[in-house]
Amino acid sequence: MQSSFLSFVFLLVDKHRNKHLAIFFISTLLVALVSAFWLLSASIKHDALVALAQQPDITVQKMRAGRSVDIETARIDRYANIKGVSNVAPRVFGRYFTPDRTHYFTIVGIDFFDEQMVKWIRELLPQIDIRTFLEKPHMVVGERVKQFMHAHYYDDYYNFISPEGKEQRVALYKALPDSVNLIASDTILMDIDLARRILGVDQEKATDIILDVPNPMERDNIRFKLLEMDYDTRIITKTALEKAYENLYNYKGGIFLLGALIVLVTFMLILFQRYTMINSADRKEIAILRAVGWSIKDVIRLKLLESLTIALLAFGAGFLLAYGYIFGLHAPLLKEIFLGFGNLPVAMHFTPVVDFGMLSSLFLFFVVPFLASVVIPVWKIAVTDASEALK
Amino acid sequence: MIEVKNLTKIFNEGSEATFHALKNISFTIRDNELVLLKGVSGSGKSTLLAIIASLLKPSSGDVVVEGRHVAKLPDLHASKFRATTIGFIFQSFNLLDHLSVSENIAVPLIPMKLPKTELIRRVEHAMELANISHKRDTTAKNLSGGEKQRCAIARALVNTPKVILCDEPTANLDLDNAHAFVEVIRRLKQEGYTILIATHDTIFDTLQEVDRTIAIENGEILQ
Repeated sequence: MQSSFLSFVFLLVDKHRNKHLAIFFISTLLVALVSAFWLLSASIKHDALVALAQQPDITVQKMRAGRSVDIETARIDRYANIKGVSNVAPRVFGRYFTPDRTHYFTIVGIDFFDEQMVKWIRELLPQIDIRTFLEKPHMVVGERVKQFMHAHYYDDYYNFISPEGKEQRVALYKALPDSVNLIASDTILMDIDLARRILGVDQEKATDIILDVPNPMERDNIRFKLLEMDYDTRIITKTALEKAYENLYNYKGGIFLLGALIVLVTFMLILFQRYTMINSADRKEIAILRAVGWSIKDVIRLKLLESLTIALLAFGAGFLLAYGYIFGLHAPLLKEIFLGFGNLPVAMHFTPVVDFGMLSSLFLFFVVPFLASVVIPVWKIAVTDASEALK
Repeated sequence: MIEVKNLTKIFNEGSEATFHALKNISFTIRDNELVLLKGVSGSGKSTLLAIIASLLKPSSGDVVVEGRHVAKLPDLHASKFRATTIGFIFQSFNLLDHLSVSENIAVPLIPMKLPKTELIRRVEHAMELANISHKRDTTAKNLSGGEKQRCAIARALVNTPKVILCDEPTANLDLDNAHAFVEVIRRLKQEGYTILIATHDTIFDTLQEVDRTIAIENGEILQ
């Protein structure tokens, strides 16, 4: 029953294709642009939160004159006795500058006698054989570090130089997975003692101490206990870190939301201009339909479905275009806006994440003005005197 | 049957440009009558047809077509009335140029929710009546004047109306096509349609099937 009407709608879409072509391309481009921003934002946020999930529950740093300095590992036993703390471990990390001081790597030392650390590294690199890894100085590197080393003719190893000027040769074991590239592209993981030697951290000291607190509700209490124990510390909880990340990405997301809104408003203006300038042929078509027995409702339904077809095609095409651009081509140009140029350019392989809430918002922002810009002028014409247009 | 009672149409009422298109007009057309509405351009013929077809609302008075008071029908009922009761043939054909002949003829049936087979059957029948079947796939803009007129006739007949209204139907036709149109009217009259033709073309004067002529001038019927 309904198929004759729909067939007629598709017939008109086909017959009016020249009229619709320009608006289809503009719409597709705008949907692609806005979708690309939002897909990229959602993907980066997702990867950041995945990486954040690997972070310790509480990090303790020692402060001197407002700066972080190495902390004594002797404190570990005292911290381990706090109720609610399940595991305490030292962590050694820091920036290692290349001899020309133009680039740096972030070296992170892993204590392979610490169960939690081993568990964490196994989650990150399931294929790691710890025995082999510890047989000689080995390292696991981020994608960009690997590329940097390759560019400097270090394919299998790298010669680090300690603060005392001693050379330390470290073999390349593996590269980190793509999923952590957002925050670990310039990272090198190695045994904690090896990291101490390269970074010049004393044997009985660490860069910071990390604590596992399984109950998130306890984190704040333990933070206060730690502050009472040692006045020279700064405590960073995972919850605070999560908030900072959320704020950062919501802030960036907000900027792009603003951009998206500006784009959509411009789009509405284009649409308004396009469809309010309904020409005499359109007026006549509506008048003919009315004269041969179509009601105002029928005419509006026809034009609504005709426009909806265009809008859906443009939305689908635009979204697929954006999806291909972000997750297929890895967002050339656009990712620089989001990520900026760091010490080593970040090698991103975006995880495909589609936020359906975002998708439906975009759909509503796009389709509703699109349809309104068509239906309102059509309705205005349809209710006026059809006999005038037929003269 | 068409009954026009004390019909008045005033355009731009209340302004300086007030124009009385129809002035207290009354007449009746019986079933199966063929009536000519004659008058010069601007005499009010087209306005009268538009009101009978419920395309235009009168300022006052009433129009009853096939027992229905159509003068003040709300849009939904007026559209249904046009779709089921009236076949309108226009001076400038008023076809959708980008559609083919068969698609143009099908247009009045689209909102009727007919089964596809019934829709096709009706279109085929109307094309045969108007002798335009051979041009079914030709786009309207590529038709000659006479073919456009036949397409418009088929479209007017496709919903099997009781009443056919023609507004200056031969004004854009050459003599041969005008004679062909007169033949179609003759056939439709024989098939029992009620027909009202607004024209100032003398070609209809010799048509024996014409029952009456109503002369209209400055919005008034001449006795």
